[in-house]
Amino acid sequence: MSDLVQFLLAGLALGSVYALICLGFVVIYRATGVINFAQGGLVVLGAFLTHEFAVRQGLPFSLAVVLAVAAVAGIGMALERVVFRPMVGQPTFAMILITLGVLFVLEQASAARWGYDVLLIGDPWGVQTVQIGGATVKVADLWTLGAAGAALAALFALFRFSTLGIAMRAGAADPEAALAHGISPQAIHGLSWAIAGAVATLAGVFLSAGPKGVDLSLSLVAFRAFPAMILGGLDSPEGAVTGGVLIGLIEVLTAAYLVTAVPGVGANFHVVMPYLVMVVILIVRPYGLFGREEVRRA
Amino acid sequence: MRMRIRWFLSSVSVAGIGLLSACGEAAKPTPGVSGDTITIGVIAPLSDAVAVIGTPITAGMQVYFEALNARGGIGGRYKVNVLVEDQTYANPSTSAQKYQKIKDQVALFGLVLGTDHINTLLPLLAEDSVLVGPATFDSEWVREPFLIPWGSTYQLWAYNALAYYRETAGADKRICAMALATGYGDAGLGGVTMAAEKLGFEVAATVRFKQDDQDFVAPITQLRNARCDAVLLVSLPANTGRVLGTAAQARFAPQWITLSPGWHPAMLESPLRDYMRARLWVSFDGAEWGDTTAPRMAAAMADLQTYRPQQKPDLYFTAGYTMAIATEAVLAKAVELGDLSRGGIVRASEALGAVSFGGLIGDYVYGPADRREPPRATTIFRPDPANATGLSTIRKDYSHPGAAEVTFTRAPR
Repeated sequence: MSDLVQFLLAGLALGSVYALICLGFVVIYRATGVINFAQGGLVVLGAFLTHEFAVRQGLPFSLAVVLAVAAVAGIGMALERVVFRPMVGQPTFAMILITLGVLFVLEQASAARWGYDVLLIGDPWGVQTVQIGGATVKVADLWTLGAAGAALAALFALFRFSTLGIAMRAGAADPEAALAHGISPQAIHGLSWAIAGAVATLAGVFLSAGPKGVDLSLSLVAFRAFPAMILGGLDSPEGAVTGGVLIGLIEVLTAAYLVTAVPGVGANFHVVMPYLVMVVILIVRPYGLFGREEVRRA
Repeated sequence: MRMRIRWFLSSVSVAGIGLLSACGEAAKPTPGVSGDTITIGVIAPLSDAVAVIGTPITAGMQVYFEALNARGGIGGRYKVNVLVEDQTYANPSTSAQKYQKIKDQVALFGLVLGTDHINTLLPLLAEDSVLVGPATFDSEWVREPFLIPWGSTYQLWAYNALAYYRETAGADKRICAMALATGYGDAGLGGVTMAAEKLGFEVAATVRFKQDDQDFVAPITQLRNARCDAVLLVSLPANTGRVLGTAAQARFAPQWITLSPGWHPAMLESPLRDYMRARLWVSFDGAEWGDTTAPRMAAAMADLQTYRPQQKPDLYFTAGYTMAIATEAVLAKAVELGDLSRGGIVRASEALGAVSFGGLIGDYVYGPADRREPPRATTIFRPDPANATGLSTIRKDYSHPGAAEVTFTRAPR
């Protein structure tokens, strides 16, 4: 039983990080129709910047995180302004390829500044644990759950209740009508990239917390979060959260139980399982659990 | 008469073609050999997470040849030029691309890093008759004719470390394994299997993981539930921190034994420092950094100061330096035999005999691939912040009697 509690909390913590990454994918997809493959680069950049501020510059960890979030949000906006805005109107495929190029640039620029070693981000949790329901739970995981939950709630409040959020939703739902009402698509795109950068940084911080540290391989995590985005629905923030949490739980529970119970599936089946779920979802519900089904006139 | 003319013309044509072929063969330059310079290739990860290994190991090879060039070069005649290409560790096909890119510019490859990368290249090496120094220690390399293996093997590192653990901790201890899902992971697990067979124990649990896994709670719980006293961990530095971090947080404290690619001194700066000092061993073949009882270590340290004073103490630097000794030995033999063609270099590798690495690692007896004899001993280290590379020796050159009985076979192709 204590193992199950431990697995559930670990799965929820991992899932909430996936949810943050997915939300970054979703806000950009809703605003621009582009799947942003550079999201992993923003994750790793955010974690490295946290290391920079907290360890190299010696700032308090919480301040370092705030600064890193602000910096990557700004970099996201700058990328939109300099790289993507001139490409508006070009084929989506070209835009997607550019996001891949941006991923490589972000990775190598990070490597040039911080190298290839595993770097600690100076978080205060270290290897601290607490006992919950007989299970040993990482304090960093509890902070991950709390902070990710707060960030996601704040974003939902922004989308639902603020003028800015309403403008974003209007722009995503009907760009031409939104434009007619004075909503600037450029501003919406820029804001989307800023949000993607901010949530990617939070994800990077929690993935690097404790003894794990950050190195370039962290950018690969975006691909692990990919099935969560498909599961939830490419254009649905609610789907991003649900998909992220489900995939995190599926991954941890598969590794914990299925691989042991059915050794024939292979020792790394926990990696395959999210993609298997993704394929099944694409077959039975191509637009995901919360995505919009597009209706086209014949 | 017409027949005789035709016969004459045909004979002249055949002779001419033969003569042209012979001239072409004779005039064909040996790739990588030009005037008094021999160019050797290096393919290593220099811009991904494994660059933490690729960069210092490449530097070690470069420093060795810079120092050798200053002393007159190979055989006192040939300077060595090192041509370096970057690969992506997670994608072995990048090594095949880089191999094709520079194979016609190099006499041999002094260093290619990664077990899966070497496996990708093996068919190409046989086609092109090119020798490669593998920066990996799979037992399968011993019998590969187009490789210049060096040092002991991953399998023997694992075997000796587990034998030493059972010898010091007790034969009733429960042994487990945790390995990357790569060829390197397979090689390490091969050593665990070998130890289980020869030493007579059951492996209580084996778990695998992927390089980009972010959460290790489930596999660590499996190991904890299997009541493992020792876990042989086949990993890279980024994985080691994450695995041991999860274990420490789960209050699971077996004796962890990792192979040298799983270690990096930066780990001693993490919150895991005390846990690692108490619970981690690192197993590989060779001398501690700066151990001048090893004759070539003093030379390595002096060359480092002269040619790369900014290089931090790093086991992988000495690994690259050591590999260069093997490369030099092969090329020096080819010069001695007067044949620096690709075929001549391969024949030189077969004629080498014993090569001493001056205590940096164990000596290797080369020869035709089916008669090569690698060193069998292993050194066991523990994390130690007081030492330059963060490791100090627990037991030097340990070789369980069973290690001497290990036979090496070529993998079926």
